[in-house]
Amino acid sequence: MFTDRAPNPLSKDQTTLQAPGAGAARSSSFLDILRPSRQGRDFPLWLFIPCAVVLVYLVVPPLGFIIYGSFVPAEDSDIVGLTTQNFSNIFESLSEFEILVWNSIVFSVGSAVWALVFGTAMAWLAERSNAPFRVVAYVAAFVSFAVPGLIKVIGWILLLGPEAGFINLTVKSVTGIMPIFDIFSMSGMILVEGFLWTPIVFLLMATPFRSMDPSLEEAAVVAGSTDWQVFWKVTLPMAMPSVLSVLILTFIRSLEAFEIPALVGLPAGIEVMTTQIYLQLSEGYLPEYGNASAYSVMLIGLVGLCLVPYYRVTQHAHRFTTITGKGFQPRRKDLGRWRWLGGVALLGLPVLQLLPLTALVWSSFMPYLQVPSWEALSLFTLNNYVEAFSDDKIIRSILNNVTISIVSATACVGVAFVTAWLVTRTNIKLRWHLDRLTMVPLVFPGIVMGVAVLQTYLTVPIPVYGTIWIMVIAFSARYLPYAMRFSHAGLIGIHKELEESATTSGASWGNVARKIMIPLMMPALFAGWIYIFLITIRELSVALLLYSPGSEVISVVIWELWENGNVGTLSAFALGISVGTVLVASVFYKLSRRHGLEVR
Amino acid sequence: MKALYLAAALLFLTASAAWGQSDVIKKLANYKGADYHQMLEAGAKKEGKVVWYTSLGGKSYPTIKDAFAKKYPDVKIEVYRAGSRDLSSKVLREHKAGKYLVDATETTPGLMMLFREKGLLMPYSSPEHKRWPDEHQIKAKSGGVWWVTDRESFIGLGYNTNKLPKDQVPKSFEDLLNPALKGKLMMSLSSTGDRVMGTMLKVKGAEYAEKLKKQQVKLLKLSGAATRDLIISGEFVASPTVFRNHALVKIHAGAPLGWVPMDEVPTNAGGSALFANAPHPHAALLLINFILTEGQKILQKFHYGMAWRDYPFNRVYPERGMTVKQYNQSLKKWNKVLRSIGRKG
Repeated sequence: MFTDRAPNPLSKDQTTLQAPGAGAARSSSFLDILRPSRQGRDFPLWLFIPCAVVLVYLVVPPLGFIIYGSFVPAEDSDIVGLTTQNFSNIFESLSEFEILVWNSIVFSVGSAVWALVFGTAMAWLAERSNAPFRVVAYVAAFVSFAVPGLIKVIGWILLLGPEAGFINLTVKSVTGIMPIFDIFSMSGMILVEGFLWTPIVFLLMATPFRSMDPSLEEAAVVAGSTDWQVFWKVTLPMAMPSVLSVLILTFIRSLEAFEIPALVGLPAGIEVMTTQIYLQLSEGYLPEYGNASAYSVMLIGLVGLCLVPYYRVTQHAHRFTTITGKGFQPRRKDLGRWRWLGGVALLGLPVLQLLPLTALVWSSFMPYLQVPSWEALSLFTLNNYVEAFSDDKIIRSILNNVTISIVSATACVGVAFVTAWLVTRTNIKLRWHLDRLTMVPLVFPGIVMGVAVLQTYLTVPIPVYGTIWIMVIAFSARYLPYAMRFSHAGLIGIHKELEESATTSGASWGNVARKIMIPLMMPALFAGWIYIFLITIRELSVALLLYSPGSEVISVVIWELWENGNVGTLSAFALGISVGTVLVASVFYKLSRRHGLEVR
Repeated sequence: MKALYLAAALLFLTASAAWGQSDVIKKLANYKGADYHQMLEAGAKKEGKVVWYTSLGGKSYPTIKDAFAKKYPDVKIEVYRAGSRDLSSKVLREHKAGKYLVDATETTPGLMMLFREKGLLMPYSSPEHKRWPDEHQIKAKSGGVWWVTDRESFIGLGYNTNKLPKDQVPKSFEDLLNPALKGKLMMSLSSTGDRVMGTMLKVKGAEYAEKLKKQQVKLLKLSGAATRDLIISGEFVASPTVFRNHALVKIHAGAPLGWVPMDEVPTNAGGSALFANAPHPHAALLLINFILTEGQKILQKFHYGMAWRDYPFNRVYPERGMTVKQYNQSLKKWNKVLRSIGRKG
């Protein structure tokens, strides 16, 4: 997995771009503000305009159409023209809306806290204690990223289903209690979402623990503090910015989550904002685009609100600097006889990643869904694998997904590279707006991006609906902020004088980019590319609204197989995909190490 | 200005092409020549492809797809399968986008009524129609039929025979309120679930929903086949949203499953229809005719019911006698009630 040195896409702390000086001359015309200030007269304006056009094209129409759509009356309504009826519909049943918001918040806070506590404990054990198996924990975190979350959620349902979950039945055979845990509940949603986030939190929290100057802790020990006091009064406060930013990040991502609320929440009768948007599009025969858009606008507002404290926390992170110029080795706590217990706890990370996959392994060899038993072994079959990998739709979904992921990742990284260069290396006055534009999609949860892009291309006569290209556009817009952070982080590490020397020697911008910047930035660009490649293979909520026959992707096929009850085929297919993504990620991991990207 | 002219020209050309295509389909749909089948086959071969949207479940639609592909190897068949609500949503948004991808559909009548009202369907003639009783042909005033009822699916109670003793099997909606079934029932969160809910409300009145809510019914967004499989696996003991045809397939295979009708049996009377803007009209009609002939055997093999047969239960068709708007509003109302019985608190 890439360490935190690869940028957190939401974070601005390491990439905060200073606004242009207050004394900048006021522009008298549009062209004037496009023109570079004195130092940048050689700046290629031709690069800025197409880049701005692409960014505006990706970002503005979805936002515009989702807002516009929220004021368009329902198809079977008698209202003519724009209306606020869609918002009135929501507030008409205020109690239902309150329940939705409450459920969303409980789910998000619960998942964030659970993942934070668990992930932080693992990170502390791995980085600040002498517990064994830390390498295994890192490998598990890496593998977890490669395996699509949807697959793991289905695995957890097979394990913790209230009546036939493998774990519940095993516990029943010992204790007679059934069920020990019902996944179809709010606590089930939180538990599984927390599990999905734990490896990420683990990786994000490992760095502050690893990079922390031990002198303060040592001083506390010398002053007679107990271990607990040192942790509570020194270590934790020093890690507080990371804790808070990870907490908010996990909260926001849980607020945007769709898979768990849909697969686990709906059966439990627990609806959240994202599932409500989806239900509005599939309630009755006429999709309620207006209501779905109104809910989307409100969710965008909620995510936007949550981003404010996030930026505040990360902006003031310097006050809590943990990495300094001083050379040091962080102190590792000797756990003594508890060392192995710590190691067992660290093994929790791989176990939690493997457990849901083992449930899928079992199901993939069974003709129909059933609990593990010796009798069931006699039904062992490979038919599910034959069926899965001889189905042309499944094969097509893999090819489609690979194409979409490669094109989206390349487009995102390409656009982000040029944008980052324009923002950091030129003096053009509008460049800050480009940076802000790339950040706008952060407020779009996947399901909202799906609705927004759908609304856009149902209205605009650009013939991408029904093709894979509509997904390429949606993914490129959604993951642009991530690519931007990777590119920006890569670019600020390269001194401007290298480019200036080449330019002075007569090299064109293209040559400078190709021969100097891209090779030097390769690790960061590569990291961004892989991140987007893998995340677009996992993405369900966007694809679910945008696919058509012939343009299915992997997550959509898994969703369809689940909806149609083909759990055996689903398991075989999902395992094949998991092995594939882990292999791809491993190859990239090796390559990126060779290219100098710091990975752990 | 030039751009404006160009856009107008493009719009005109697109509209002319669509009108031209629609005219071709109209002539084809009314064709009654003796070489009907040969003409369809030749045309379909030239088109090379057919896109079929269906709400048929289980393995029936892939079997039809495979059999069609085997018989007509030159016509590639692409299938989109979804519940009727998702299917409706997809067709309508494609229509809105002016994107005509789909050629033919096999789905339930409520949805086809909507498509017909929106002008998306084209009535057609086929020599196969003469085998159908008049009352099961939905005829167009201008001639031809919109669709014929090519199968019926009956919704009743599926239960796990290992988990529910025979004497405790509910026989009516009232029996579902048995406290012994608390927390053990599930319903499909789909138009199937909506129609069952509508039937329950009709038979038992509005207060029934409140009583059912106390049974802690779980709602899953699953197809009929998936609902059945969860009952077989024992994850749920019973569900009143199981299709008889889905159940019979597994009962005959020895699965621990039973199926009983309730007071009234909501029935999906499915049919096949041709889209007015089908990009591959010959192939579409070839597929529809296939469903009305060899497809019938496949559907019967998968235990679908036939409209003209008698069955020992009281079939009801919730959409009958309603306009599209009334039916859509009813679906929404039933869906709201259904979701409320699954909601906690």
